[in-house]
Amino acid sequence: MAPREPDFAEWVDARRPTLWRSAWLLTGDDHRADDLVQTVLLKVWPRWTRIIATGDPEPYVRRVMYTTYLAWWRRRWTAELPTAEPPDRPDPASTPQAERVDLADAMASLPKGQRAVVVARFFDDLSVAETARQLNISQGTVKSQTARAVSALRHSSLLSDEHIRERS
Amino acid sequence: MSGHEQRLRDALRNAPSAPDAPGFGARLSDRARRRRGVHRAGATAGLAVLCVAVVAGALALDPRGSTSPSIAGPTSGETQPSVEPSPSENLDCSRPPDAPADGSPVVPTGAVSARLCGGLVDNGGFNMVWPADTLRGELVDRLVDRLNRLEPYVEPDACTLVLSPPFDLVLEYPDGSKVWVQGDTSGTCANLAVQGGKVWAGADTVLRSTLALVEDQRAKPAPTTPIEPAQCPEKWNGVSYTADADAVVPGSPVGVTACRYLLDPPAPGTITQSADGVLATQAPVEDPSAVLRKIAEGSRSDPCGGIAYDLNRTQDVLLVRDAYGDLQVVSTTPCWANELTGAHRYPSQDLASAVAHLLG
Repeated sequence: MAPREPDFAEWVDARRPTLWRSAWLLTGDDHRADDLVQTVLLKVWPRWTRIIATGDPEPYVRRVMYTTYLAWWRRRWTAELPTAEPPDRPDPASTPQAERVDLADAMASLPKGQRAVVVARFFDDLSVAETARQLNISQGTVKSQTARAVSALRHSSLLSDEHIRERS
Repeated sequence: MSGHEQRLRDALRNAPSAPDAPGFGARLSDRARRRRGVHRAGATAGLAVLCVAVVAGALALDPRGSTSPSIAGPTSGETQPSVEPSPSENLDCSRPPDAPADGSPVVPTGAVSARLCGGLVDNGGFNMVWPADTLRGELVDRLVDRLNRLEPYVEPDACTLVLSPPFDLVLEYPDGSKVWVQGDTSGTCANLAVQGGKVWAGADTVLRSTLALVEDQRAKPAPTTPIEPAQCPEKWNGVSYTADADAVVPGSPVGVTACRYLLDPPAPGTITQSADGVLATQAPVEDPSAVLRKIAEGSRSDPCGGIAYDLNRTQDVLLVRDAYGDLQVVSTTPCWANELTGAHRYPSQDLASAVAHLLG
């Protein structure tokens, strides 16, 4: 049975901005964020009626986004992404441009698994248990990946005390 | 929650806002509905093709029948060329002129050889090249059969940009003529064009099928003659690996070259992953089997705790070439996993030191 499309379209329009920001944090790039969101939504569309019947579709959609993201880059060098130009960045609104460059740089320095955990835990505000379910990993792995990511970022410009002082 | 976690949470709030996209949901619904329509139409077309194939098969049993192709390939029956069959010994990749046609079936039957052609760039890292193997015999028939079961392509409203490789596939016929197929496996607009003419859906399945057939052909024992080590490209970004190669396995006959690149420091303000550089030195590895063992002994876990390393330095890699000519690139940096090789391991310090010593 085809999904009740107004529901799907309305839900997409309502939730796309939040999904896109998560996708941007995962990919660090506007175009790839667009791509990831579109791909995920096209994947869930055929199952929409069943998804919506379970209640809130967002956990399911986010799970598809995480798994799609991890699958896209699973066979690529994790440490380097040669680019002639830095990814496009949107015009700064309320925060300095430099802050977003720092954010993209710091997130790009993380292995993809840790990046997914960081976005789930600290942007999507998921609990350890929810993050484990979303990423299909154990809660212990969520904790260890979180600790590693925070430790790694502590050494990055994003969270360094010096950086914080410079910004303030 | 620690202070660092709270800082991180605050920092993530600085992610940019999504660009405005009024009516995005409605457009996406429409596009998804069309895709479903294509699939249903494809199933109907598949049934029609099956019926045609049954009829064609019956004709093929009739010695007076014909399986003439409709595009620039070999022909049979009344239009059979008079030239003597002369398929190439090693199928080259020179492209014939485009000859648009309405092509049905997708390609003519009767091809005697096929291979993937064309270089490409993997946007996520090194350049990637296709296996140089020329498919022959029954494997070519299977590939042609796969091609001739493709469904017509219907262009969606918008394309996703999933980073997937384009490819060229060349088929050769007994009279030496060729049919050129161009595939684009990228995102939802993946498609395949024959001789610059009619476009078909299913480029991704054709690519997977072709690579699988190459593996089938390689099921025979590999040559055991010494493998000449590859030359390191002059530019860091020119380093290539071969799609789906799996040469880095202990015991494989391979040639190995150690390459050292001096990487350019990233320009101020650019994202840290930007890197280019030139070849500083290279050296063949005298005992490839020992290197393969060292790679296999690498750690499965990240010894660096996910901390990125500084790119403003030299970069050593190993180029591994196998008996089929496939190339793989092997990292010697402990923080940099060999995810593109068969090893899937983080290089040991022992390997890094050995390669550094070899390169002086």
